[in-house]
Amino acid sequence: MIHYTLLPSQELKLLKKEYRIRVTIYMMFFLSFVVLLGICALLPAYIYSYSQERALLARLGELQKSRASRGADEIKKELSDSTEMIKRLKNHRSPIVYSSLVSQVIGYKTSGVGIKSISVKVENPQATTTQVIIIVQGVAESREGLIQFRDRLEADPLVTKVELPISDLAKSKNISYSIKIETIKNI
Amino acid sequence: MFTKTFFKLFPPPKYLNIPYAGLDISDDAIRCIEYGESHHGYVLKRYGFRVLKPGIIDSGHIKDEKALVTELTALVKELKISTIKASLPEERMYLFKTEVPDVDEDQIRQNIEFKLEENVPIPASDAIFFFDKLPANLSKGKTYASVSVAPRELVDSYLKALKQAGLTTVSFEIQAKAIARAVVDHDSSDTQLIVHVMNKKTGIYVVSSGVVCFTTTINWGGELIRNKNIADVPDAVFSLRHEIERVYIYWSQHGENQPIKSIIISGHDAPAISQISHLSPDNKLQLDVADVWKNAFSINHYVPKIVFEDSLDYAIAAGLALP
Repeated sequence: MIHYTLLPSQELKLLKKEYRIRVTIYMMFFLSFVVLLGICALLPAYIYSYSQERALLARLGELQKSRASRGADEIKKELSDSTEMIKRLKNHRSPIVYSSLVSQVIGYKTSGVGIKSISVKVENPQATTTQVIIIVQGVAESREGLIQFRDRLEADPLVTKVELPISDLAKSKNISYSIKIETIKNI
Repeated sequence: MFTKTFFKLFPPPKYLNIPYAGLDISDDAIRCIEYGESHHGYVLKRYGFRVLKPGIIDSGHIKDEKALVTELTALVKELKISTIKASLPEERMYLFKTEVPDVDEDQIRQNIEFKLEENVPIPASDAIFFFDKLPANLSKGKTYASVSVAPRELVDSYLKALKQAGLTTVSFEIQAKAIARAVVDHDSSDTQLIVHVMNKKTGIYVVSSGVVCFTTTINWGGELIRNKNIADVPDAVFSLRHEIERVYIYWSQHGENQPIKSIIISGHDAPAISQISHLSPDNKLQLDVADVWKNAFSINHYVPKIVFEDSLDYAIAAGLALP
């Protein structure tokens, strides 16, 4: 409050300015005091939560130590291995059994037809359904026996295609042949 | 209006006030008082005075600014004060009473500004004025204001000297008002005559309900009777008695049915003057020596370091220092 009397207006302006500065300073001081008071009021809560955090961390450390001492880590490793195995088993698909393919081919062979080699080629091993190409090479005593072997292969419902070059049938005895068998296999 | 009501209901806290000292600048001396606060009211925090050599201030005119600044600076250094409320010489001021409309203060101010040149011999542009509304019991249903007017050049000359001494002035006040504030009860509704005796002059003021309504200054000083037997200086005593009587009669005729009920004498020579017989124009009037601490503290609770006789010199400074 300015109790001014008989002062020129410029002086009054200066006094009012000084008074406003004074009010501002007091307000700032009051604000700082409130902030300080707030910090002081929150300090016990902060100390309490800090000590709680420290206690919990200590307890966690102890639990970890105790779990390690009880072999929990090994159990965890075994569990992890088992999980991996289960995962692999889940992804397991029936593989192509080459011996059964060979046995099947040999099963269709007629007498007088000799087999020198059987090669099996899987077109796309990753796919669930793939084409399997079996090439059978050998020597047949007679043309009839070879044709019969080819017909028996073609009669198999799983076989999609049997290729026997005509040139292989040019001779009537001791014929060197090469048969290409194509089949579809579900894995 | 709303602002006024708001601040009445929620007054600003005291610590926002700018602390100031009261500085009385008279022809013969400068005196300063600053109050501090205690449980029992105010206490003297700082006080001091510097005697001014004759010729530095003459009848309120600053004749030797450099010397005045030197004395002020010395007092400032001694008391470590920075903000003051200062007095202006009564003999260079004008005081008049005028009827004003019952409106807000800004409008009253404008109204007085129009009437200024009718009442004082200086142009309104060269005048700085302030007014106090007279209490309702003195106004008979009308609104009157007691207006103090100071010539701008007087205010500027005092302000300049005070600034040079490193002081900030928060207010100037007429000496009569400062004395009245110190020696008249805050809640008094009576009309009193204050006789303030200085070295070479005496101010006679009529104060009604705490408001200064009339002032006059005579060239009669306390030095005329100092260290003398009163009986040896009958002429000197007569002049003072005559002036008091003149003012008393004037006020009896123009005082709006508010007769003077007591006389208060202040100033260094007040105790001696109060012993003069027949000083009072009416034997029924009570004659008292001023108690300058009346409105600051009770001597039952706090005894000031300034002795009673010296305290009478500080009447103006004591009044200025009061909030």
